[in-house]
Amino acid sequence: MTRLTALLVSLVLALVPALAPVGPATAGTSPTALPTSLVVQTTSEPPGLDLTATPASATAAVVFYNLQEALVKVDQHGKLVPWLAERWHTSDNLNYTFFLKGGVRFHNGRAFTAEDVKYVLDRARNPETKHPHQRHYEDIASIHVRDQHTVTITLKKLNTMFLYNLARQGSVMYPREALEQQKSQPVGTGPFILARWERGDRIVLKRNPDYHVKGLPKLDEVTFRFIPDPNAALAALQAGDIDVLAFGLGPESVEVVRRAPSLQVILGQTTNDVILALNNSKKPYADVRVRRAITHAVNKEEIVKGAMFGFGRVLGTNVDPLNPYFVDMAQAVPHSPEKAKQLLAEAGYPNGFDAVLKVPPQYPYTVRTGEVLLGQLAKVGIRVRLEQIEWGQWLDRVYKNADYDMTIIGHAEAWDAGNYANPKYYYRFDSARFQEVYKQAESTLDDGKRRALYHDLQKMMVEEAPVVWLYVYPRLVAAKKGVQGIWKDLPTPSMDLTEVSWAK
Amino acid sequence: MRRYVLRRLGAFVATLGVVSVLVFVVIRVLPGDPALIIMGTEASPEAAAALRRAMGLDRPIPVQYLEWVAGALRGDLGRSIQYDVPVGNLILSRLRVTLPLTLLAALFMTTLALPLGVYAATHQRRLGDYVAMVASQLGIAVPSFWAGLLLILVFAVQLGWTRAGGFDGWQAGIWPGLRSLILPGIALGLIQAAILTRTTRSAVLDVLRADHVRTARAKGLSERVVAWKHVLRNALITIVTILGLQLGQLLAGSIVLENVFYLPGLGRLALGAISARDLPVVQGVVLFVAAVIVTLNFAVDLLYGLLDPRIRYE
Amino acid sequence: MSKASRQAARHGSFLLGAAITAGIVLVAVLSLVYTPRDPLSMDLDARLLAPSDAHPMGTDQFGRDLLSRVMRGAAASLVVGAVAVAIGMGAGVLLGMLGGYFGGALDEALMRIMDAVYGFPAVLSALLVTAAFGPGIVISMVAVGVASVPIFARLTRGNFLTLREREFVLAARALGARDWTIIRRHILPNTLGPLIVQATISFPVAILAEAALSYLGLGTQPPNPSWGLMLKDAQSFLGRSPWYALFPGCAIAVAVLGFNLLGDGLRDLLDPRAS
Repeated sequence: MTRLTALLVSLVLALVPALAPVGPATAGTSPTALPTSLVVQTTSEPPGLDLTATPASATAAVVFYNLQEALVKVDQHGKLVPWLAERWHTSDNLNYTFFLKGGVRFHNGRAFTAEDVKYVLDRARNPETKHPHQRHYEDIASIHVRDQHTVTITLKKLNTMFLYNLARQGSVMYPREALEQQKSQPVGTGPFILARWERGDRIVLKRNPDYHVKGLPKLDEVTFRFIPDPNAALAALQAGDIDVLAFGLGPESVEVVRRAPSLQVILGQTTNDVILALNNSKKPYADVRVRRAITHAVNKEEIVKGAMFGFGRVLGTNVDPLNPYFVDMAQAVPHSPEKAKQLLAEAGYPNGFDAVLKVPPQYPYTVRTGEVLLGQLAKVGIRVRLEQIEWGQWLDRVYKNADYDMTIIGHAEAWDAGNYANPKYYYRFDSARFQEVYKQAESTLDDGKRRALYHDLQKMMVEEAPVVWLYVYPRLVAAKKGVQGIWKDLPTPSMDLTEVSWAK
Repeated sequence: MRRYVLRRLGAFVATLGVVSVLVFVVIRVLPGDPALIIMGTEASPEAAAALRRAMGLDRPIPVQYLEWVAGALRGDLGRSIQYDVPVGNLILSRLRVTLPLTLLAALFMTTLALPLGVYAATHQRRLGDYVAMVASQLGIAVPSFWAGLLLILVFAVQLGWTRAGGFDGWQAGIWPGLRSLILPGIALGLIQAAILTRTTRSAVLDVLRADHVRTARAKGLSERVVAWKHVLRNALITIVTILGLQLGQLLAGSIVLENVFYLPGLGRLALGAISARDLPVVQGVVLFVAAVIVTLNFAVDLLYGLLDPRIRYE
Repeated sequence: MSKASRQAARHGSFLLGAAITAGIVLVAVLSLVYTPRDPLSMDLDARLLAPSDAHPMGTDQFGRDLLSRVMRGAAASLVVGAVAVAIGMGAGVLLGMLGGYFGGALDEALMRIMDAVYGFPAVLSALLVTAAFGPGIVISMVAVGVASVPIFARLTRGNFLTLREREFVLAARALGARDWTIIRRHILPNTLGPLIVQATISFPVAILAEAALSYLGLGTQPPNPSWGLMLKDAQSFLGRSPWYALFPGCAIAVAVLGFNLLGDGLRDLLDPRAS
């Protein structure tokens, strides 16, 4: 046997143990006890972990509810519940006094007090801080610390969203001494503590033994793995490498997961409305007849069937079904290519026109939706060319500079009708009447009146059609059977793992 | 000989200079405001402008270039915007995946291609040769990411022999780490193995025709001995040349494969950084990859000169 | 083995390669005027079907006929290869000519630039270029073409260096012929052979590069069919519809095979000394 052959043989022999069968990766288990750790997949790595610096939902998934919490919380049913604030009261809806929960500590050991509330909110409303959602706090006039556990917030004017804004991800509580490390090692009051962040690969959280809710969290360790490719993620789940496929389960794979005996699918609703955004400042989209024509041309059911394999609910306006003021207006502008052509002719485009539809392939559903839309718009004479642009370019050209004709994107935040009242938002929709009604809705406390105002807003959305609302993206989660406690609906972008555990 | 080395060295340094200019210029052309991406879509213009100033993006371009090169020579490639760690550290940590992956692919490539190529050459025009040639033609034709996905489906999902991808880090042990890299290594090395097989075959065939081998054969040594000892050594020049160049190709190929197997390597770092407009990282990674390839080419040049003193460039 | 059968084998490779290549070109050209069905029309009730009489290659996730898309994809791949090779050859030959013929500092400078460009693999440079200018089949092919310039440049330059010193060139120069005439009449024709062979090698490389770029979303844009893009889409449906990936994958393999055989055959024919 020549030396080379011997070398080859020994190499093959060396590789054999590498190919030996591998069982599923579950760390921290003993033969009889249930596993206490969880591996969760998410599609994108957070661009920093500071919720007061970035609104990225990738950051929210890891940090919100797990590492850091706010005074109030939106629970899995969409209800506003007390959290770090045990209760509050107001007599005039301008001065709110919050009574903080006792015995709450930050991860660094220090007690959470009213001073922290004042610091955090003062910082949020300070323009110098460059908080991503500063306008949510600009109605705060002053914050007064009564004692260790009591704080009063005074508003400049009535704002019905005030309490809700305090529950948003940008309102999390953190200690001032940990400000510098917020981006890479945030400190909070949450059920988990950041153990380590291996850039580009995973973030590991470990249990907070001093969490202020006894008995929680149920897990000892959570690992977030960033797996952007949906096929790779599914393969990882099937091979047992990950336990939960939190974001990025393609609708085409739902059947595959359902058929697998060891896996489960969690199907629910989100507040993520997928829209075909139109540039209202550009011809021909400035003409409402053209916008309504496009809406008539679109067959939303076909889109949900084609792009989402039937998962997703057709939408008529910005207000999604999880919102208490939701009115189903999906059929208000019915699918009708004839009407579309008629409107286009009226507007001066009897032969249609050309358009470029920019989509960010980082979100595959936008590309698929675009493909189906192309065919529908072509039937009424609108010749659309699809242009995939990567996320950075989308943010720059479409979002920041409104350099686009049409684009498709999902807006995950709840209660964001305000975007249509902002003429500088990338839709560039400027309707004085809409803005007026929206302002009223923001400052009306009477629920009945508010509901009526939101009804008006939705009617206006239908009439003006600044964008075409397509469908609500469903909550699609795949997990190993035995994982329980994952929220079915997602009323706010997050991945709450507080009550998640393994069951037999 | 020394003159040759010095001249190649000079060329090498000049080339690196051109590479750095190319990297810098192209990346500066990239649209997309890094400040906006970091701060998110709702950032105010003043905040974004302040961040741009802090990142040094408002200084004249030649100044930025010189500062960057000076830093690079010191080993300081700047700081990543999204991760807030030195770029050099990021590259090093990713190398812990990309380097073993590339070497594993190279190992697979050579152990498969060299014997196969020699076999094909010594059995020229017979069945073995044709089979090897057809196999290598197919190997070249298959896209690497496709091969990767098929391997995952078969070995990870169906058979459960290996993991579907990902990388736990070397602290879990050498073997678990290598196990994560086997499938991607094979997928990565497949195409290059096919190419190397053909190269080896033709290099060996070239040598087999040469006179001194005829002499050795005339002396009555067995076919096998002739092949392994004399031919391989002489064919080594060509083979080593191609091998060196192929290492660069492997590095490039890992970019796509790291997506299929979600390995935290240089390729994923580059893709993510471009998407996030993390300019320092993009510059650093592209410079690094280009520099490695240029260095490999330089090493091959030197080796070429050493192995075959008859060959000289102008 | 007899000389005759060796000749036949060489010719066989060339002929087979030529046949396959011609076949693909034919299909590509045909697809521009005729395909069994419209490659773009969707039929959501007929998605992900297995091959049948109605759809010989099955359908994709939108119910589009795969056979028609594979045919149209041939046209896309040929465009891809042609643009990339044209750029690589055009710029590469020019630069190689300049350096190889005139030598000196110009040659040095050009060679350093070529070495530098060589350090940017096609995929990496395509990433940069498409990030700067937006994705698209043409832009990414420009990037792939640029990445192949150094190869053509080196080849041309090498030939020029060798040929420059040959007698017939020296003689021509002694007779007072001008540089450009010498290049055109004497040197270029002798360089053509290896260049063509290199073109048939770079062509399939470009096709494979397009597949990789489309996988990354940077090449051909949907809904236009391209083999690489179809492979990317097929990935998501591997469990349900394995044949979806089979046909575009095979198409790529056949195309690459054809060009490689053609190149091998050509090389054998043009330079009988090589094996």
